[in-house]
Amino acid sequence: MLIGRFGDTTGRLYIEGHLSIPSLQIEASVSFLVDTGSDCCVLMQLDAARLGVDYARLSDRADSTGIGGVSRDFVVAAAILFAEQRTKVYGYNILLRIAEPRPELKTTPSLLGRDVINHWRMTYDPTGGQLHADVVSCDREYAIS
Amino acid sequence: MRNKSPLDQVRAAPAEIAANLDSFAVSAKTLSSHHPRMIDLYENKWVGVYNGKIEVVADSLEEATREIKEKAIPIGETIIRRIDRTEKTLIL
Repeated sequence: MLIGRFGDTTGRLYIEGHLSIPSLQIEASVSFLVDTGSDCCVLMQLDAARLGVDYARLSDRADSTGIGGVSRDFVVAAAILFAEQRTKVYGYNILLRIAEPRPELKTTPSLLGRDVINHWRMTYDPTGGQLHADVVSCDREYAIS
Repeated sequence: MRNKSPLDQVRAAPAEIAANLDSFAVSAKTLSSHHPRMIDLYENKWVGVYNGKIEVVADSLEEATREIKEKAIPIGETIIRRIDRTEKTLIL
């Protein structure tokens, strides 16, 4: 079972994942906002700047529609992995959206979308302060010995 | 020959990934649970936390990132957030 958490001040639901973008030689931990309203995972400027994303090396683009209108995001092949209490790691191949930098979005967290969430059975428990997610399926599973 | 998928190209070992995520979650919880106290100390600053410890306080995201690198702290395992007194309302 994977375990997420609710932010103490925001009440937002987060889960930490390992993100790998081979074409940019990036591997890092990212705290994702769990967003069932997002069709796909999005790396926001907050994490892209930290990880040194070189936008000049990104070429594939796609439109994303949100409450703020349409944005022209970058699209890149990536892997995202989650750990289950140091016993297993579950991995997914995804097409990650990387949001174009905009000052008004600088503090917005990266999003975990339904391209990953749809592989889980989740218990949303804000009173208990946790998200529990059973992994129903994944692209790859690793046992930790 | 079949193209390698992103998962085929992950460099970190599963045990390393699990350990890093444990540490990163501790850092995220540190930022979250200490947020009220941090507002008094670091309002409008960018704070970098590694392994549960505040390592950097800076005026911008770029400055925080630069200072973390200068201190040779693993940037990929450091969480950086801006400390605001009033949280923005998110409607995604």
